[in-house]
Amino acid sequence: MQALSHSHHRTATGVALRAVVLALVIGLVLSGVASARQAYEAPLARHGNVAHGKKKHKRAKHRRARAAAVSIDLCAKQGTVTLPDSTTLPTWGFVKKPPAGSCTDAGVDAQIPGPVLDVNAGDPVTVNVQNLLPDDLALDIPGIRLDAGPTSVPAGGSRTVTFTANNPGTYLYESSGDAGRQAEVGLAGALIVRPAASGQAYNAASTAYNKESMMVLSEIVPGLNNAAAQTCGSQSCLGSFEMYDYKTAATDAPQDARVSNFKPAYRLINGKAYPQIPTINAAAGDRVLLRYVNAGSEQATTTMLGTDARMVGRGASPLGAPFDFVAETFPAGSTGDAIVTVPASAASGTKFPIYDRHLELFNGSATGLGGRIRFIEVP
Amino acid sequence: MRLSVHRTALSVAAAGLLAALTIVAPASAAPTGMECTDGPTFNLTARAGQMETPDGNSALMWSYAPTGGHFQTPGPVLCVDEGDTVTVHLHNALPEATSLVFPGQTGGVTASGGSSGLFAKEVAAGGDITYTFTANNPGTYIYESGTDPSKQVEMGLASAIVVRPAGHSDRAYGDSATSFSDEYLIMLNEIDPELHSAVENNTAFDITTRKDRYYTINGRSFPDTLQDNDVPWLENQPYGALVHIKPYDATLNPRPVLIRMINVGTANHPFHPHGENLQFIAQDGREIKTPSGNDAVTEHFGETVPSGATEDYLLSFRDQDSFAPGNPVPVTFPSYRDLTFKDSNTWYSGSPYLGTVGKLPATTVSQQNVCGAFFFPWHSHALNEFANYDAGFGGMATLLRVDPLTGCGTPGLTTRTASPDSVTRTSPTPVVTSTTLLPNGLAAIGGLRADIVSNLSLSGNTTRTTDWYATFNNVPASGVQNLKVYYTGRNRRVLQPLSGWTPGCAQTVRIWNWTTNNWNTPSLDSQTVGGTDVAIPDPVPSAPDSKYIGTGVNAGQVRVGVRCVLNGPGAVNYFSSGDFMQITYDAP
Repeated sequence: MQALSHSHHRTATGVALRAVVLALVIGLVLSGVASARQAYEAPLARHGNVAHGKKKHKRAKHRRARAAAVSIDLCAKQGTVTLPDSTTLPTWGFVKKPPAGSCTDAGVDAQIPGPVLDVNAGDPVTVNVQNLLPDDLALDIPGIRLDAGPTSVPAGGSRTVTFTANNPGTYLYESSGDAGRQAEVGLAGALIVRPAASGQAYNAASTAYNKESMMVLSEIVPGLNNAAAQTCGSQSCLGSFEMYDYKTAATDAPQDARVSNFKPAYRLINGKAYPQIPTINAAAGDRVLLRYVNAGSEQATTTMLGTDARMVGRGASPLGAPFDFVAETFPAGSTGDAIVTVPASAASGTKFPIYDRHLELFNGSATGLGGRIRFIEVP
Repeated sequence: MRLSVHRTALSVAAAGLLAALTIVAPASAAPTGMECTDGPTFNLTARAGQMETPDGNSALMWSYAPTGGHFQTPGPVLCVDEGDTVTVHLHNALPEATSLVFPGQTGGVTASGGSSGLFAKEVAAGGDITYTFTANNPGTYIYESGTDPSKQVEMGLASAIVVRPAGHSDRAYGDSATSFSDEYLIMLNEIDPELHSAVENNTAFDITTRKDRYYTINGRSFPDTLQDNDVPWLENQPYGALVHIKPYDATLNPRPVLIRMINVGTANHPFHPHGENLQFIAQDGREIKTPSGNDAVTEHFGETVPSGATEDYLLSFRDQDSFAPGNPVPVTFPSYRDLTFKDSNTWYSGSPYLGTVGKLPATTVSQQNVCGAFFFPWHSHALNEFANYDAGFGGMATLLRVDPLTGCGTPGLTTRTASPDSVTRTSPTPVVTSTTLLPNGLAAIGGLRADIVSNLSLSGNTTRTTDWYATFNNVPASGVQNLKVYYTGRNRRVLQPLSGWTPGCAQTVRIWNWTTNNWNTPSLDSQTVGGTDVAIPDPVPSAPDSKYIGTGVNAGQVRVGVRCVLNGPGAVNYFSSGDFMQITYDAP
């Protein structure tokens, strides 16, 4: 099982490990261990939680993390996603290149969404993108000032993009290629920039949490995914047709699909639809940071039962006046950092549902509930 | 469980302190405002019934009705106090299992009876279940179905819970800054009639093909939203949505009203209130504060109400400029003759001033404004939602009605405004010059325009006079009080620069006295007026006003005359231009 992964090691310089408050967790398992599409299956490991018996990379708690150069190697490839109604669709996605491997290695599969990129504020970051796709792509991280230079990655080629992660927060990274349709078929993910103080979303102590989980929201329009897998001339059909559609069946021809009638058949959290979405396990009293990233093309609104959340940041900016909410909209392309405090009185087995309040609670035309339904559960 | 409409009446105590008095009246006593069903114990039945849309359609709805009572959509607004143990007994008269969820309630919702469901314990068709929780936090909340919500919530299984702060039923929250006078519910929803038809006929419906066609506030579509609460012709849709207030006044109306917006629909709605910004004070029953506990209130004239969210706003209408006939709006208004009114209906009073009623085009069939109230649309800014199955205006819309501070129609008098119905020239006679000499379109100050004519060119005379009067028709024969005249005009030399005549002629403004059958003396105003507009604000003729209102063949006529005289050798030709004339009066 792989949670958020770093592709790099940091050296904790001159800072002692603290026994009580262990490393900021995020289960720093080296990448390439698990099947790529499982990247988000587990909620992020609990602060100080050494459970699961997995190899764990302990990151020292930095009082003041020292910026360290970070290098991230990404592959952009074709892949597939299998949805709860057994529909399998082609996708495009990012995946981290194994440190000693190649983008074409077996098991290096495109992830939906892309892997979480996890850096510290102040880090000089180098992202090397190798594009195995038939179309050019272009890396974009709204809210981050990329260093001067091209960001396009030609089909079959590579590109190095650098930036300094100045400001803590949750970001979206995506490809803007093919008029934005590449992001919609999977070329998007989350970037976390951590403040100096560990266990906080931002520099303010009020943003402290002891557990965190990604909430990367996206949707799937089958016709668009099918277009990505078909060839139109020297490129995919993704950018070729005027517009694409609709909840067409997996076998529909791409020209039957138009974004002017954009109607997703699947709505996902971290690349999965209910009942695939793993539960977040959190103890009574835990402060669970939900890092919302709307990587899709629709407004997304979730509601929750039994508790509420405090929005501490939006668009990777800390809020001067954090507000509490039950239902809130995350516009397409936006991010938000919300802390759910599990009620101190919650008994073991208590579940707190978080679900799509647009009530698009279906998986294609399959019967039964689907879509964006997730639970926080007290073990 | 009993019905109430929560209102707070304010009176001024001798010491100048405001004393609050809470009046709990039967629901039917209050035509507007949020209608509460008081708890903390409620008996609800989930069942089916019909709703009507303004275009004559109807749709099967699922909703919560008082057990043993009349079907209603949306379900009752459940009102409880902070700290209450709330008990909801739910009987399921639907053909399938259902459940209740209470987003935002953190007081440990428990259920007795029923069986486990995904989000809550569920009750089978025909069964009963009881939900209990502690109302921990004041605020505005939703209760809704937690079973197959894509279908059941869309079918109508959602309504509101209001938790009042302990000990302060006249506040939205414990905070005194959230004190209010009246409160209004704006509950947004949308309907796909195809889904409702499929449920009614028990046919398959692909939920992914939803297309909403009707948009509602409090279960009604515009213009039904404007009708009072509990009108008999909308028997299943008891909740009106007209927001009916008075302007802020430090003494008479110091408190804002509370607007509780709720989106129980599945789409986000861009709700756009005209007239005055709303102050956003809370979301989902959580006050918006800075970390140090100060207000972080923001003002809004358009805000998304997310699906499943509630938003509380305070509203005070502040008549900042106090524009009135004697303090006219300093911009040019279009001629009323150039205005058109949709379907010959209007909520415009004919006057731009609060508390005055003016004249409307003769083609106006339905004048909805009886006392010079201001009406402002509150609506979804999405065009498809501002319609009834594509026909606009309709759908998710209501009106804000601001009455004069002194009230509307009671205790009996209304201020009315009138513009001239005709203009008659008495001098010079005969007409010797075309009126085309007049520069058309001189500024009409405030509302309605009275282009009035006069001229000149009496060769050989040393005294030159312009003399004309305006006639106002249909003034009530009796009961008129406080008659006032407003006139703005100028006198200019022919073929000279527009403002280039000094000193001008000796102008007299006067009113016809029907009892003496002559111009009343003294005149209303007398001064020398040249080439610059001179406004004569609200001259009041000597009482009684009845002598200025014609009888018999002249019944209802008021005449106001303007005469200007230029004497002496070398007198030049000139013309007079009346740019604005109105009368106002109070009448039953």
